[in-house]
Amino acid sequence: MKFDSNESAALNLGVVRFLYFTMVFFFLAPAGYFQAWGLAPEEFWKPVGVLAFFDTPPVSSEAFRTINTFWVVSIPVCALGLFYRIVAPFNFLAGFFVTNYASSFGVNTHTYLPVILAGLPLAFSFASDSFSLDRHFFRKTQPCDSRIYVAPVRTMQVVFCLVFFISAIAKLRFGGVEWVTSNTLQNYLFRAAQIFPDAHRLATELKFGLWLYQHEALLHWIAGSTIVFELLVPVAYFYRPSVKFIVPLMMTMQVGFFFAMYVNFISFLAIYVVWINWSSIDKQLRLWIKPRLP
Amino acid sequence: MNQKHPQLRVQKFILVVILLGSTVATLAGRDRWYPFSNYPMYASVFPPVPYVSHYIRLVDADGTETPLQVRPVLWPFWQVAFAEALLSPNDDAKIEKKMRAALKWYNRNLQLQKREPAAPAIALRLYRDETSWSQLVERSIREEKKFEALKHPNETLRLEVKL
Repeated sequence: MKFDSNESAALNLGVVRFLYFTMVFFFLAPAGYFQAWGLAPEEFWKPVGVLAFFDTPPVSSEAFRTINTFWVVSIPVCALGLFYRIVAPFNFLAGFFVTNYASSFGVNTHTYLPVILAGLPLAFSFASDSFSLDRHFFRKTQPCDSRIYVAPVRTMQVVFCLVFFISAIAKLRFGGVEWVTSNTLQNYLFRAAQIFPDAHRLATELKFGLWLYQHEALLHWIAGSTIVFELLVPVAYFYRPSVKFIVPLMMTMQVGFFFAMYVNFISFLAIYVVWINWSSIDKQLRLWIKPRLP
Repeated sequence: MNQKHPQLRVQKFILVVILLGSTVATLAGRDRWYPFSNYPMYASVFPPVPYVSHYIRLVDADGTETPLQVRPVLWPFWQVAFAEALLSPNDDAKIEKKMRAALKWYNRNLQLQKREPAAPAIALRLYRDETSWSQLVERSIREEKKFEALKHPNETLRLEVKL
């Protein structure tokens, strides 16, 4: 991603900040999902990550609710970029704790891990130097190095690439070639229809997975190409022109997973935004709007 | 260009942490190094042999058994997540402790959420079954029912907890 000035790079990061936190607010934090883990029975407590490292017992539901509330409330504050350099690190820590806690009851979910991880470079960046209330109210002078604004976005792109690449490696490691040549994908589709009776109604009613289940040859092709495409994702990081093919392809795959296997990756939208050059869109918009203004 | 801007060092450090954490978690095959993971979702060949199923059923005061519907009463667990959490680790004493807690939690939530049926469950049973995957699929298609809704001829009661 190339920018013609520091202003452009700062604007790009500012828009990424705004969109990332907005999507986290709407697609990850709401609906009381995380808050409800504060009430789960402690007999199910099986800490992971940092909580396991420190052998942390479950906290009281009141304490958990307080931390979760701080996380949820501070997300829009970060989206708007108000006191960002102070609020964002605490927001990340609170979000990290809440999601780590929610993953510590024996439930293995991978759909939001990368979104949380991608928030790390953003939380400790200068993402409010443009397109923010901090910029509006305090008019901070911008540092003279555009790399400061590019680096967090590039690291978020690394997180995106790692997710798919590692996913392909996991398939090759645990399943090997048999993952493609056997009826594994076909069986997973049937299993999904069995084990997710309470999944997303839109997907379950469409029964796309059960339709696919009947097309064995197509499923072998899909299994093989999934691994190949996932292995190719890091190319997007190194070779910019490939972004316009690889990124939409991954999005299509994830939409396919949702309808076929009922796995909802909507919170991933928060990291898809890092592939777009927002300052270039801003320029085009200004060129389009300017002649139309009185 | 200021090569030594502290922010660049911070970002470099974060990049190294992410790369190192993800790589080590993948190489070590660790799935519990939150938030790093080897992303093993659907990565194994399926079905495993032998294919072992577990069914969790509630028992009401009349002795009638019904498959446990996890959502919405045991929210934020969902059906498959609850079974995974219950059965891991695969240790009868721990599973029994969790079942006892789940039964109490289920009845309490039932009252709090004012859901039907309002009558509390008196027991929770865990059944184990080794019917092969292909037989399960065939029967499920033939009878147009999900595995859970079928009573399996070879299933055995593994654990039961009562109020």
